[in-house]
Amino acid sequence: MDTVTNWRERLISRTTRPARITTYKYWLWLGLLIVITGNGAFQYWNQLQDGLYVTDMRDRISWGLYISMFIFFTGVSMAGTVISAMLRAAKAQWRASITRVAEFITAFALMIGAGFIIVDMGRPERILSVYLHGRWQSPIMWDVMAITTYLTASVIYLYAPMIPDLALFRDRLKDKVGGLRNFVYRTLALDWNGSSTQFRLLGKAITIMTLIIIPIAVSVHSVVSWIFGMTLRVGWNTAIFGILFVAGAVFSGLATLIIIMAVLRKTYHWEEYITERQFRSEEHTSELQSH
Amino acid sequence: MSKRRHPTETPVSINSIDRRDALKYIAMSAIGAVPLMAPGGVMDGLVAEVVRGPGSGDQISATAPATTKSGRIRQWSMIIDLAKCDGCQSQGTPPQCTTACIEGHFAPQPMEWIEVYEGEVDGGGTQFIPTPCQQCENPPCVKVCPVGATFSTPEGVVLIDQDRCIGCRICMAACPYDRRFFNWGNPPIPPEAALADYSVEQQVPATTGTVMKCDFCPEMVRDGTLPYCVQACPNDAIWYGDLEEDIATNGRTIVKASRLISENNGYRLKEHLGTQPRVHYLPGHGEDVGRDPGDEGRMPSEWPWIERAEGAVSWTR
Repeated sequence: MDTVTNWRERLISRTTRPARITTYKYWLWLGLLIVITGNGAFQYWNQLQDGLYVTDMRDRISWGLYISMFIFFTGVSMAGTVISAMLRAAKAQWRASITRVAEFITAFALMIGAGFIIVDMGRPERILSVYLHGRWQSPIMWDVMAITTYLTASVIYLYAPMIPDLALFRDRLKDKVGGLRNFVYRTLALDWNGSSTQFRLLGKAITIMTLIIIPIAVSVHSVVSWIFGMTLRVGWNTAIFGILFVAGAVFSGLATLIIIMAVLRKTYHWEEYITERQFRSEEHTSELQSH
Repeated sequence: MSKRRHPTETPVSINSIDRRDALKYIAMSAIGAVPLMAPGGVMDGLVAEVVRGPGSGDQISATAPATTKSGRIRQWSMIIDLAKCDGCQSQGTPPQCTTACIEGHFAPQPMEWIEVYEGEVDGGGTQFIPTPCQQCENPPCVKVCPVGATFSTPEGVVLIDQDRCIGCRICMAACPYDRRFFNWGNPPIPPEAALADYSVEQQVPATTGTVMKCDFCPEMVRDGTLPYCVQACPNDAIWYGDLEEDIATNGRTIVKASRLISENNGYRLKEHLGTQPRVHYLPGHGEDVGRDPGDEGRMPSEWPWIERAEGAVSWTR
């Protein structure tokens, strides 16, 4: 029992380390990202001034990098939620250390992907027209609906299993972090006290979300293919796109998961928790999908 | 779960799914949806509310469609005689239908709403194909619009409401004829166009970030004149007509439209797609223009008012 307690303490101290200690590397990384984001914001400002002219897209090639990026990030978002839901449903024990990573990838990839649609629009200020004058016959309408549903579902699916961990952060980091972050942990933890009633209710909620999220994800990835498949452009007007997009999403999702896990494992020295077992199992999953 | 428990695993398993529970939840959600589906229930009204017709046509409903004497709505159509069209090679000018359209509609710089393509005819010779919007009766562009900014009018014309268009460009991908143009930059607008009252039938002035195309000039025909391109054609190759009354005119003579089409083996572009275009073509015989199709020697279109447009950005197509 003692070893287990030790193991647990070590796990908690290792995983909360990034929340407790901020190194100069963090600020460097943050600075770099801010520079990149700022550049992007400046370019977008240019685009708002001069029109989509600045992207060098033209009538014949009317969708470019923006839509490719949208498709890419929606594909990557498959990683998370679905893989974690599938593994949860299959009761695969090795998933424990990767589900959180996977769910975060989904939520953030979706947010970025949805952003690309708005950046690609000629008149982004009319985005609400999609709700005011929306037509269900249009694949774009289904896109908007599927993606917002998927985003909501994956945020819930990310948040619900995180409540006990947020409670742990609330309890363990009380004296180590500032008031604002304490407030955030306290609010998000929703008075979690770890009683068996709470665990039962949370388990039920997660079960429901697991069941709901798999069909939503499949629908999202096939719906995204419609914006190509339902046009009359040669090479796009084909029925294979739905299957292709779902299959492609599973593979790119798994690949992203493997990459991000490898980076986290190296950066935070989580070799003990993200072991070779996880990587091997992911390879097997990927192989299984390909058959 | 009786086996060794993983240290991170919570005391009561929050992660495992009981198959019976799963079925129960699915059944519960299915039952919940039943009242919505019942006939005469909420769904009926909801369907009417949610599944709207193709396009709103808010703007156009104020304008009464042109009708025949007996009150039937006219169905505008175009018949283009490829045997007569020589791409204005004999005139030594750029295609005059295109120029007239540009002047009349202030179409932004690289847009040629009626573009004259050039191709070889089997057996030699060159054929010039003026291509306006085909005004499909089964328009793929209208179907995919997420906001109903593009729509078919009762007269059978496909229009775009630039005040609603969100610029997603899915209609451009959907159009098999490549007849839709996007305002990639801030379009050049001469002062006289800037003063015009916007109307979906005129599309003047142009709006950044929206789609434009040939509008078939229904308001001109209602007023008793022919569209710019028909008026400008020096060879009288373009016929404009009404399929309801079955007449067509090129500005010089009036003929029976159906007979003109059938007697000259009329066809439509990409008929196999089922788009039912309203533009018919009478096959050409191939003119000898003294050069190969696509070779240099053809005059590019001009935008005569472009100097008057301030801060004009023009892009290439």
